[in-house]
Amino acid sequence: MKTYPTIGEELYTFTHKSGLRVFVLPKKGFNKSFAIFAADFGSVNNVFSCDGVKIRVPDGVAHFLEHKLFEEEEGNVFEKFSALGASANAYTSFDMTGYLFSATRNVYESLEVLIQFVQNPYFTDENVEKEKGIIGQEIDMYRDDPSWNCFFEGLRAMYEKHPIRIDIAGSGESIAKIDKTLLYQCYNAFYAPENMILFVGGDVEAERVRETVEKVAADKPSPTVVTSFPEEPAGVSKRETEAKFPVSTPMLSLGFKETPMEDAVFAEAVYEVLGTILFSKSTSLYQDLYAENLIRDSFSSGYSQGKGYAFFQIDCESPDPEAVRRRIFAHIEKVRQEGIRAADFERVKKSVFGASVRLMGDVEKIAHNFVPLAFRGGDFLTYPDVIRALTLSDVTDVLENGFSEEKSVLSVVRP
Amino acid sequence: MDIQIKTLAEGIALYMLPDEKFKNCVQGIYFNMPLKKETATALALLPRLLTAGNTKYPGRSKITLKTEELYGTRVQCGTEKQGEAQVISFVGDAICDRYAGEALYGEVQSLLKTIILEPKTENEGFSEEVFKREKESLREDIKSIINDKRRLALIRCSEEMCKGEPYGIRADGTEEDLDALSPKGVYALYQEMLKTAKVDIFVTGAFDKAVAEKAAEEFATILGGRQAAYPETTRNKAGLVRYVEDKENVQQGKLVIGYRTDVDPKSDDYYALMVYNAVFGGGTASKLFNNVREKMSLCYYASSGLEKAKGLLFVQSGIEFSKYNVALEAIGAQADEIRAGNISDAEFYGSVQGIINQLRSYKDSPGLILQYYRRQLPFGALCDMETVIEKIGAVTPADVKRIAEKVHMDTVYFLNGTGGDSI
Repeated sequence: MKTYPTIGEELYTFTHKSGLRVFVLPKKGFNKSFAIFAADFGSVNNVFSCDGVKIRVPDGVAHFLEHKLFEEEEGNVFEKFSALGASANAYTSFDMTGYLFSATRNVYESLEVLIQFVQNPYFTDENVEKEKGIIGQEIDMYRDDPSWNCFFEGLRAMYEKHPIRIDIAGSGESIAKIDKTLLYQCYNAFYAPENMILFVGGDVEAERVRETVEKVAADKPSPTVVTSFPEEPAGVSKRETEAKFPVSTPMLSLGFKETPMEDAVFAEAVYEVLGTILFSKSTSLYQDLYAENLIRDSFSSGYSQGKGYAFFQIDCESPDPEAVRRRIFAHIEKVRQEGIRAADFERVKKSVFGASVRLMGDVEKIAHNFVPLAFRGGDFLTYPDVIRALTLSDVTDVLENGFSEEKSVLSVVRP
Repeated sequence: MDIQIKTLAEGIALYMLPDEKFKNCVQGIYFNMPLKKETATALALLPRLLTAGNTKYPGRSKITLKTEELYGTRVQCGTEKQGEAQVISFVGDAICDRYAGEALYGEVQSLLKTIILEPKTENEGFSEEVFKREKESLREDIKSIINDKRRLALIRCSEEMCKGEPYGIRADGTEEDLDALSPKGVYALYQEMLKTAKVDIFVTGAFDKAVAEKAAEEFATILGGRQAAYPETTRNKAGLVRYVEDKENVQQGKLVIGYRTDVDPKSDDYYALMVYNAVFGGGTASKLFNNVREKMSLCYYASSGLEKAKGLLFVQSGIEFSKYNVALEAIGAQADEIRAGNISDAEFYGSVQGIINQLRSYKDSPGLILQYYRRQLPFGALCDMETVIEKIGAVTPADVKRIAEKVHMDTVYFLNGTGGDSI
C-alpha cells in the first residue's frame, strides 16, 4: 500500500499470478465505484509480431475488437451489467483499449462480469458483419465533426510514418476487411494478462477486489508480442494542411511535434505548466489576440504523449489563422528572449497544482489518467507532487528545446 | 448529508451542502429570469460584459490571472435555458483550503461578487469599447452553432417545435436581436436583473458553513430583498406531427424527434416518465439501443432525453440519409411497443437501476449535487436522492404503459445531406 499525503489517498497494488497488474484506490465515504480493465492495445499497434509471426492489420481493428467484446454467446453483456444496476462502456485510444463500469451497488459482482466478458471473446461471421453498420455510422459521425478533423489532419501532417496518423475507428473501406479470424488473432496477441491492467476505485476494499480477481481472472500464458513502429523523421511531413467544412469561421490547430520523454508523468507536468505559462488567458498573447478580434473566448492547448509520439496543440477559431500562427511564434520567441518570470512560474504552478488536486476528487478522472500512464510505468497519483517539485529550469529546458517553428503544423478548417 | 436552506432576504435563498470528504468547493450564484424574445440576447451578452469589463479586473486576462493565483479556481459565468426561464449563473469551483494551505473561500466569493456588482461603466451604460467587442464575440459564437451538427439538429428541432412559445427562443441569443442592443439598454436590464430576479446561492463540497453563510448574507444585503418567483413554464399539447428538413453539407443525417408529454413535473407521474424515458432510449438497457442500434445496425447513437419543466422528450440519432424512413419507423415502433405494454423485465429493471445508479453517483460530486438540487427548485419542495430513488423504485411497468399514453410525437426534424432525396 502506498500513501499520498498531498492528496490524502491510498493505493493498493498487486500482481495476479498470471501477470495481470491490479490497482485499487478506495475512497472513503464515496458511493460510486469505477473500474477499468484495459489492454495495452490501441490504434497505433497495427504492425506486430506475436510469438514470431508478423502481422499487419487493417485500420480500426483495436476499436472494432472493443465493440465486439461486448457480444457473448448468450447475447449482449450490457444486459448483465444493467441487471446489476451498473453502467458499462468502453473506449479505444491511440495506445490502449479500456472496458469500464460504474456502480453504486453490486460492485464485486459487476467486477466479475467485467473481467469475465473481456476474457471471453465470442466472434462470429454474423456478429462481425452486423457491427460494420454501427461502426460505419460512428465513423460518419466523426466525419461531421470539424474540430476532430482539424486535430487529426494536423497529426497526419505532423507524422509521416508513425501509425498515429491512422483514424482510431478506421474507415469504411478498412473495416470492410475485418473478419473474425483477424479479431481472434489480435485478441490472442494483446489481451494477455501481462499486457493488461485492472484499476478499481471508489467505494471498494482492496481485499475484496483481490478475492474477486483470484476467483475469475484467467491464468493463461502471455505470448511474446512486439509492435514495430516505422522510423519516423524528426521533422514534420507538411507545415500546413487545410480542409473545407460547413463552419462559421475558420478553425485552427497549431501543433508542435515534440520529443517523447522517458518519464511520462514528468512530461505531462512540465508541458502543462509551460503550456499554461505560454498560452493561458492571463497572457498578453491572449489579451492582444482577443482585443484585435483575432480569437474569441475559446482558446485551448494541451499536450499528448504515447507510444513513440509527443505533440503539443493549440486550438481556436479565427478569421485569420496565419496571423494567429505568426503571433504565437513571436510570443514564444519573446518569452525565450526575456525568460520566464519567477512570479509567473510560481503562480502557474499553484494553478496547475490546484487543478490536479481537484481532479483527484473524481475517481473516474483518476482512472482515465492513471491507466495509460501505468502502462508506461508512471504513477498519476504523484502528479500534484511532481508539479510542486518542478523547477524553473525544468520548464526553461523544454521551452529552449521544444516548440520549434520548423516542427510545427498549422491545420485549418475553412468554411 | 442534508441540504440546509436559509432565506437571506425576500427572494434570495442560500442552499448549503457541506461534506468534508470532498477536495473542492463549488459556490454558485443564480439569477432566474423569464425567457423572453426581447431580453434573451441581452441576457446572453450580460455575463460576457461582466467578465470582460470590470473595475477591479479590467479584462478577462486579469480575472484569469486572479484564478491562477487562487490555485486554478474555475470561474464560469453564462446563461442557460431551463424550461422557459433563462438562468444567469456565476460559479466558482476551488480546491478546499486544507489542500491549498491558505483560505480560498472568501477570495473566490469576493471575486464572484466583484464580477457581478462592479462592471466598468460610462454614461449610465456599459463601457462602449467592451460592449462593442463582446457583442462581436457573441455574434461569432451564435454563428458557430452550425459547427456542431448534432447540437444544431437538436436546437433546430426544439425551436421549430416550440415556435411562438418562449421555449423556442434561443437562450444563446440571435444575430438579429444583437444588432438592436445598446450599452445603455443592456445596463438597464442588468439593473433590473439585480433588483428583481429570484436569486439562489448554492455552496457544495468541503467548506466552513459559518464563513459561507456570513459571505452570502453580506451579498444578499447588498442586493436587497425583492418579491420574486421562478418564471412559469407553459406546457402545450401536441397537434398533428410536423416534418421539418434542413439540408447541409454533412456526411451523416441527424434525426431528432420531439415529443410532448402531458405530465406535470410536480406530480409523482413524473417519476414514471423518467422510467419511460429510460426504457425508451435512456441507456444500454433501452429499446432504442437494443433494437435500433444493436439489432438493426442503423446507427451508432440513438437515445432519448427529457426536458422536465416543459415536458418534452427528444430522440436523437445519426443515420445514413437513405435510412430516414426505416429509422423513423423503427423509433416509432419502439414507442408503440411501450404503449402496448411490451416491456421486458431486463428493459424495465435495467432502466430503473440505471436511473438509481446515476442518482447515487451524483452524491460523489459537488458540482452534480449542486445541479441536482438547483434544477428541482422551480418544482416545489426539494427531495434528496434517496427519496427520489424510492419513488423511482415504486414505479411499475403498468405505470410506464399508462404514461406512454401521455407521450405524443410532435415534430420530426432531419438534417439531410445536400445531395440526397428530400424526405
